[in-house]
Amino acid sequence: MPSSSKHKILAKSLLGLSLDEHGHIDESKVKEILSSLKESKVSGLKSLLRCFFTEVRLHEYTYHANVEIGCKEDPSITNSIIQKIEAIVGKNIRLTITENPNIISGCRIRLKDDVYEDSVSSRLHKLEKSFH
Amino acid sequence: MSSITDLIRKEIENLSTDATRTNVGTITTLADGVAKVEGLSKVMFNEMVEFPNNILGIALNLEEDSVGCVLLGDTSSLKEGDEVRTTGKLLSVPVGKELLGRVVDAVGRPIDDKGPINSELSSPVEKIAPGIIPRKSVDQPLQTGIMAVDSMVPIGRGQRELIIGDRSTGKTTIAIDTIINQAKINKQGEKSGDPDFRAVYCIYVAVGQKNSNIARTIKILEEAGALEYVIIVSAPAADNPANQYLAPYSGCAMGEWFMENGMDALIVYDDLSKHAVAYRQISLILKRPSGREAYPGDVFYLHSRLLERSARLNEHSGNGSLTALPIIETQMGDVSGYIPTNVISITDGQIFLETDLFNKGIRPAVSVGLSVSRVGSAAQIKAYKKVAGKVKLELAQFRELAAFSQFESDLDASTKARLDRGARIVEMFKQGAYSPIPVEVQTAIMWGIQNDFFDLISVQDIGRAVQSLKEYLSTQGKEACEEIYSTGKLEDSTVEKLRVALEDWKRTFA
Repeated sequence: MPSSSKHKILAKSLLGLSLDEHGHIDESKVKEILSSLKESKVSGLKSLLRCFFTEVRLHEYTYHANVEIGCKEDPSITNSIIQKIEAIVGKNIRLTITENPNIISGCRIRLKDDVYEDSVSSRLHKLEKSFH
Repeated sequence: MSSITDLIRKEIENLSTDATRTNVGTITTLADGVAKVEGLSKVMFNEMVEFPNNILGIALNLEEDSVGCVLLGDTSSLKEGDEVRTTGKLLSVPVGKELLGRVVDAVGRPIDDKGPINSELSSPVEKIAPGIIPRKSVDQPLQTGIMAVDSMVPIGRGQRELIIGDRSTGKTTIAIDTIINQAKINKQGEKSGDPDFRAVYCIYVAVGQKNSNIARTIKILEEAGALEYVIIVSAPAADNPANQYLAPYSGCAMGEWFMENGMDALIVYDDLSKHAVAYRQISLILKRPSGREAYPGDVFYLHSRLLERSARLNEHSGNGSLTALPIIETQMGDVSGYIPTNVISITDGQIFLETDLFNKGIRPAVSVGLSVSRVGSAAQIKAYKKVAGKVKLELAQFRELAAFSQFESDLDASTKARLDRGARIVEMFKQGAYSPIPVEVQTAIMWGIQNDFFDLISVQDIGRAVQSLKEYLSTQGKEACEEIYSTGKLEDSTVEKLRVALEDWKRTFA
């Protein structure tokens, strides 16, 4: 088996060790893994760390939703968004809500590599495209 | 003003208010017109992806955790971390007769300052070639107007005939001559009002060439009045490799439209060596495993899937055709190179041009021994087949005898006669660039040489004699040529008229 494939399998196991009981990445566990890797001086450490980094990032994408809203944050809207996302994804996800005046009004949710958008800016973009 | 506001209002009303779902990714690396994108988990192979600032790309490498995309525009405004979106569409180019007379880039955008192209139709760039059922054998000629080609390596509609040779041996000239001849035939056919006449539309794909060369080609076609029947797809050397890789497929999609709609088209790929080099560049940047001469493993498939799209369709499928003239540049006359052998094996024959012949002034420098047409002879008109049937053999015998005769001082009469005939045929085949000869005139000239009308003319004067005969046949000897053109046969009555005309010409030719 090529070393890159071995590293990918190993990185997946390391990711499993980095998770807490809710399935979220635990920072302290990650630090522990990194220090033990450093001490053990395994061959191809750079490649292994790169694979581990990719796995962590992909996990972050999967369990993290980035919500951009065009107006000021409203707790009732936030809660309804969380409920809807959880109903769709069925996972205990982490949410980051940011204000983005560029979308004018409405919201834009990025979940993994899908973007759900219903905003004035997206409608204007569609309109612009329809003229071409 | 009110109409504009109404239009905008209508557009707004038509827009759906539902939330949209887009699959996105993020640029992780960007180099030499290729971007590695993380995300895009739902992207299809060969799908168009949208980068910021309306820059398009194509997803070519679908890997486990990233996607390799080639970019089709100016990449200077892009940076790592930029968002990339899927479009759900395969790359398409505009097709139709509206493109005739226009110069477009690899994605079908006009680059000739003649305004937008009003074509409502588009076709995907990558398409599966027609299968066995809709195809038919080649049975209609495609006249190049070049005597050496039409007589020895005839091309039929739907054939793939490779033009191969070293640099500066006249490869492009043969292709341009063929295009000019199609335009002449098209004009003649349209003028005659013959309902059975089938025009041949041409597509010229310039890959990796100098812009000055492309501009010169356009000028030649314009001056010859051929541009109105031609679409030029330009991907010059200054273009990024992605555009050079795509251009032949885009041109093919444009040609296929004519074929699928019951028309005949001719496509010239100038040239596929540079196309392979562009593809090698992309593949190396995409980190695909490389093989012989650093080309990727699928370089054969690159050309086979392109050239297989040229075909002759049967009556049930519209009776259209797409003839391909791919061009390959060899190095030091070596036809056994990787790309030349690949393309030779895919095509239905090749016209090999020799540097030595070219330097000796034998132009077009067609090598008799190495040039072949595997299917074209079935498409030759009967009259021409009758007079040109023996020429290739005679010329091959001449080359062999000429080599031996250098060591012999005393030659027998029959050998001497063969050498004389061969030398005259070589002179007769010399033809200036961009001056194609109509098939009926070619038939008359060939008939003349086969029936000893040129035997008393010295070899040095053959060129002048051919020119004089051409002029004579366009005026006094018109009748015999018109008969050959309309019937396509050499009937006894036509032969008699030819004999009278040529005897008359011989008396006038000093």
